[in-house]
Amino acid sequence: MTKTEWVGADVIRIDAKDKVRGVLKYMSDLSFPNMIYGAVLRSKHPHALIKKINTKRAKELDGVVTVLTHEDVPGLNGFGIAIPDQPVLCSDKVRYMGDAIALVGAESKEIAERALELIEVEYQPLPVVCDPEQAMLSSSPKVHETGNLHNHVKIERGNVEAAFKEAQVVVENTYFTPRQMHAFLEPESGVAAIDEDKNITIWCGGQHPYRDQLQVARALGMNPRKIRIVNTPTGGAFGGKDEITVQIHLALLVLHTGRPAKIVLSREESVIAGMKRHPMRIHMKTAAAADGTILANEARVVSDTGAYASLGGPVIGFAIEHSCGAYRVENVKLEGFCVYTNNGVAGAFRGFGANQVTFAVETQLDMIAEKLGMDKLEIRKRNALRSGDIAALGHQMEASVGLLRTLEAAENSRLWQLKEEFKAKPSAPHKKRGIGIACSFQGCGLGKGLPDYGAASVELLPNGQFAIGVSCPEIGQGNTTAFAQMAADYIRCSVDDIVVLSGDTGHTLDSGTSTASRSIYTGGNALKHAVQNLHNAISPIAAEILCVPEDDISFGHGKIVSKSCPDKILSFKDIAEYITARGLSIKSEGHFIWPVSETELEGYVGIPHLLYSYITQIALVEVNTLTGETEVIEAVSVPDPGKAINPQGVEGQSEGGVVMGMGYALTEDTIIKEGMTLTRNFSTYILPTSLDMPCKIETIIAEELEPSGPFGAKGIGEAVCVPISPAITNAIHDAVKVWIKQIPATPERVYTALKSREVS
Amino acid sequence: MKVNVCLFGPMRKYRDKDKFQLELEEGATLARLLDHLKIEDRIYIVILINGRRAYEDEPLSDDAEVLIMAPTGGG
Amino acid sequence: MTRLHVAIPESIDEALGLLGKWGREAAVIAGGTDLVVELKDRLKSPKALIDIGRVPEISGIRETEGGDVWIGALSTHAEVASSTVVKETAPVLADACAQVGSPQIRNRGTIGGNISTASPAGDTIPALYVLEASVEIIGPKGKRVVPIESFFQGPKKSALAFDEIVLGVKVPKLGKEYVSFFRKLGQRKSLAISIVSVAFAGRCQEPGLFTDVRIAFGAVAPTVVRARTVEKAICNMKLDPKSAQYISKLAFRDCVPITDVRGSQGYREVMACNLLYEGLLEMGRVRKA
Repeated sequence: MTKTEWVGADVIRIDAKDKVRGVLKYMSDLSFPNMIYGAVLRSKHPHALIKKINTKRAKELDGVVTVLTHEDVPGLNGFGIAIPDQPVLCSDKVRYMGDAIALVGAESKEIAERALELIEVEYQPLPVVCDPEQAMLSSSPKVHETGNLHNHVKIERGNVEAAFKEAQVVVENTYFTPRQMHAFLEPESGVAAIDEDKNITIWCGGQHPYRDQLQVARALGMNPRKIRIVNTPTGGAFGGKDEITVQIHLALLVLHTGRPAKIVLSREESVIAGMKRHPMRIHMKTAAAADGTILANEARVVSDTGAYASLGGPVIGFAIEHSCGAYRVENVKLEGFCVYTNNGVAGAFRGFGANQVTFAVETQLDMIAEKLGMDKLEIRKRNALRSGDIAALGHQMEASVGLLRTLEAAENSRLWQLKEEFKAKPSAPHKKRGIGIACSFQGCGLGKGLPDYGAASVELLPNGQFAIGVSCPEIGQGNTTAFAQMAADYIRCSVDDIVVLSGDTGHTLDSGTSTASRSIYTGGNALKHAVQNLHNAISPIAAEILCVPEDDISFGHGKIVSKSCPDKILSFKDIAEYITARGLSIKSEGHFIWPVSETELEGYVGIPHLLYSYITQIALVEVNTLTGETEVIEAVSVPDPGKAINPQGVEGQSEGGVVMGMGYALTEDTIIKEGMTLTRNFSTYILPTSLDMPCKIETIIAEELEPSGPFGAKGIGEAVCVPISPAITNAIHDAVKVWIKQIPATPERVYTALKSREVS
Repeated sequence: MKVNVCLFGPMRKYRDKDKFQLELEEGATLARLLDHLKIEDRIYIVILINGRRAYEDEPLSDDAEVLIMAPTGGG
Repeated sequence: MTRLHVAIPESIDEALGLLGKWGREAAVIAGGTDLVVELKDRLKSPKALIDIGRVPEISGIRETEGGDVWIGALSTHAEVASSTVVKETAPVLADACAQVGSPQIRNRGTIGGNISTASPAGDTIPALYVLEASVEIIGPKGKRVVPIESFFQGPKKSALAFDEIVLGVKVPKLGKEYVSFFRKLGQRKSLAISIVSVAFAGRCQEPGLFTDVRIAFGAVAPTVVRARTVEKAICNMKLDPKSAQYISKLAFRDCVPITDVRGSQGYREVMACNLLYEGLLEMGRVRKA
C-alpha cells in the first residue's frame, strides 16, 4: 500500500471549530416561519386498554392548531426496525408509560403542553408484566397477542456435560445487568416542513436516514421518495436514535397542517419514552482444565426488551454470539430469550448485547483464574482467539484477529507493569486498591443473512475541490472527518479540499447505518470504489489536455502527472475549469457489499459476523471499605480498530467508551418498578461527571490490519465501552475480595457484599 | 432480458430459492419484478440494483443483479 | 395562558409589601436552583415570583458586634465556601458549602434558599446545626430569631410563614481549640444529593479527648438531626481508632432513615455510623492506638 498522507494522522475534526464555538446548528436549533410546536400525550398506565379518547376540549383551546390520534395515521399505524409492533399513536392498548396516544400541534410549546392536559383518555388498567422470567410463563398476562417471547436463540456445539465432568474447575453464577440509558446531550428532537407538492423534509437526529425514510413512508402510506430525511448533525445517539424517535410524529404534524413543525422531548419524556439497553439476567456455567483452557460454557440469557421489539431480536442473537467472550470454546450450550414486558422499551445501544454477556464471562474467567492460581492476563492469552480458530458459534475467524496483540500491549502498559506499586499506595488505610483486566470482541457490520451494503459519491467541484457523500450520519463519533481523510488519500488531494456531505437522503447515496461499528469500513470501501471511478473519469480528460495516452496519467499529491513526461502536470482545478467551461461535470459513485462469514446458522439472521474488533482494558480502583464507594483511579484501553484512520479520534472514542462503561459498572440504572420509571432525570439517573472520571485514561492503539478494510480499518465505536465494566468489577474483587454479580456496583451493593463476606 | 435476483431474510418467503434468474420483458421496471414475485410490502423494503439503492419505478437492465431485503439493523 | 408576575424589589420593606399583597400566591426566588425545578415539574404554580436578588439588607458576610458571623441569605454557596471569615471561624460550613451540587449550582444557589427549602438532605444544614446557628427572619410583625433546630419541622416544612423572608443566619464562631468536619456520601462526586451527610464539631484540647461535641446528620430523618446519644458518648472519652469505631456505631440511635431510590434504610443507618467514624479517623485527631 502506498504511504498515506492523511490516513493515520491526527487531522482536526472537520466539525470541531463549529462545535467548540457553539455555532453548529443541531436539528432542534432549526426554526421556520409559521412553525408549530408538537407535544405528545403519553400513557398514564404501563399496561391498559384504551376505552375512549376525547380530544374535543384540547382542540378548542386557543392556539391549538391540530390534535391527532390513531385515526389520523394514513398508513400503517406502527413502526419498528424489525417488526412494526410499536403504534405511532395507540388506538386500543398501551404497553408502557412512554406510549404515544395523541399528538398536539400548537402555536407555542406551552399551549401544546396545556392542550395535552385537556385530552381525556379512558383506560382499563391491565396487570403489569414486569418480570421477564415470569412473563415467559403461560400464566402471564400478554403484552402482545403473539405472546411475550419475542425471540429465542439456541446454539449447541460439542458436549458440555462431558466437559463439566472432566474439568478441573467449574464456576456457575447468575449475573444481573442494568437498564443503561444512552443519555445523549440532545434529546430526541427535530423539525419538519412540507412543500406544495406534499414533499416532506424531516431534520431529525438519527442513525440511518434511508431507513427512517421507509419507516415514515410506511406510516404515512406515501412514496418514500417524497420524504427527505436529514440526520446530520446528531447530538449523540449511541444506538438510541437507531429506531424512529419523533420522525413520524413530525411528518404527521406537517402533513395535517401544511405548516412546519418542531418537536423536542424534555429529558423526563426522553427517559420514560426512549430506548434503553436491555437489562439481562445471565446464568453461566463455565468449565476449565488445570492449565486454564476453557473447556465448556453454558449460558442462559433472559433479555427484557420492554413493550416493543425494536432490535431486541438481533440484540439477543448478538449477546449469544459474544457470550463466550473472544475465546476458543469447543463445547457450548447457549440459550437466549428476548421477552416483552411493560418495562419501558429497549433497543440498540453501543455494544449491542455484548456488554451484558462480557460482564458475565469475564467475571467467570477471573474466578477460574483465581481457583487455578493463574495470572489474570495469562488465562486470557491462553484462551484468546487467533486467526483461523473456530469461535463459539462454530464459525471460523477468517478476518484479522487482534486480541493477542491487545493483550501484549496491555501487559506492557505502565499500569500493568507497576500494578503492585499502584496497589500498595491507597489514599487511606481503610481504602483498598485493586487492578482488573478484561477483554472483548465486537462483531462489525450487520452479520450473516443481512446484506450490509454501502454507497458513496465523489464530485469534482468547479473550484477543484471535491464533495464526497456518505449517508452514515455524523452522530459525534467523527466519521465525517475519517471519510475526508480516506477520500483525500484515495484521490491524492489535500484533506482541506474535501467537503463532506453526510446523513441526508437528498444529497447522499444510501450507505446504511451509523451503527454496528460499521460506518468507517463501509463508507471507506464505498469511497475507494467511487474514487476509482472518479480517476477513471478524470484520466481521459487529463490525457486529452496533456496530449498523452490515457494510461500515461497518474495521480499524486494534488496533481495529475504524465508518467512519461513528469513536467506535464495538471491540478484538479485545471480539470474542473476545463470541464466546467464545456458544461460537463464529474460525479462518480462507489458501491460496496460486505463480505460475510461462510458459516450459516439455520434459522438465524445477523449472526455470526465475519469481522470483529478486539480490545483489552485495565482498571485500577480504590474501594472504600467503610462506605462501599469505588473510585476508578486509572484505566488503560487497548483497542484493535484495524488501521486507526484518525488516532486522536480513536483515543476520543476510547476515553468516552471507558467512562460510559464505568457508568454501566458503577452507577447507571434506569429503575422501573411496576412499569413506572423512578429515575426520571439526571438527579437520580447517575451518570459519571467530570469529577468521577479516572485521573488518567491511557489509550494504546494495537492495529491488526484488516485486508478487506479501507487502509486496513475495521470499526471501534462500540468495543471501547465493553470490557472496561468487568475490568472494574474484577478490580473491585482484587481490592476487597468480593465478586460483583450485579451491576451497577453501587456503594450500597459493594458494602453489602463486603459485609456478607465478613459474615460468611 | 434476464435479471439475477437474490432474496434475503424474511424476503425468502416469496420464493423457494433465494438466488435465481428471471426472464422479464425488455424495459421492465422494478415494480414489474415485484409483481412477478408477488411481494406485497412495497414500502418497507430495500432493493439494490447492481449495488445501488433503487425504488420501484426504476427500469431494470439486462443481467442486472437485484438484491431484495427487509431493512434491518444491528450492533 | 396564566400569566406569571415577576417583581424585583429593591429593599426588604418593598419585598415584604409584595409578599403581603400576593400572600400565598407568591413564591420568593433568589438563586432559583430549587424553585425553578419545582416550577418546571409543576409542583408549585405561583401567580407571582418575588425576586429578592437585589435586596441589599440580606446580602454580605460580616462579623457582628457580638462576635458572631452573620451570613446574609443571598450569600451563594460559592461565596460562603470562599469567605475568609467563614473558613477561619466556621470551617465546617465552608466545607459543606463547597460540596453542594456543582460549580454552577454553588454560584447560583444561596444559603437562605438552602434553609428555606428545608430539605432533609440540604448540605449546609448539618453544618449550621453543629455550629448552633440561628435563623433571622423578617415578616409583617418584624424580626425574629429562631434557633436552627427549631426552624426545621419536617421535609420541606419550616417555621417560616408564607409572609416571611429569611434575612440571614447568625453563626457563633468556633473557638481555636475546636475541630470539625463535614462528610457527604453521594452517588457520585459532583451533582449528588446526599445519601447521608454528617457534620462534626468538638473541642479538642488534647489528642483524642473531646468536649462540647456536636454531631448532625442529613438525609437520615425528616429533618437534619443532632445525634445526641453519640455526642454524649464521645465527650470526655479518650478516642482511639478502635473506640472511635465502637462509639460511632451509636450514631444510628438518632437516625430514622427511609428507603428511597438513593439508598435503603439499613444502608443509611450503617453509613451514618461509618461516615462519622471515617471523619474521626481522617481528622487525624483520633489518638493512635
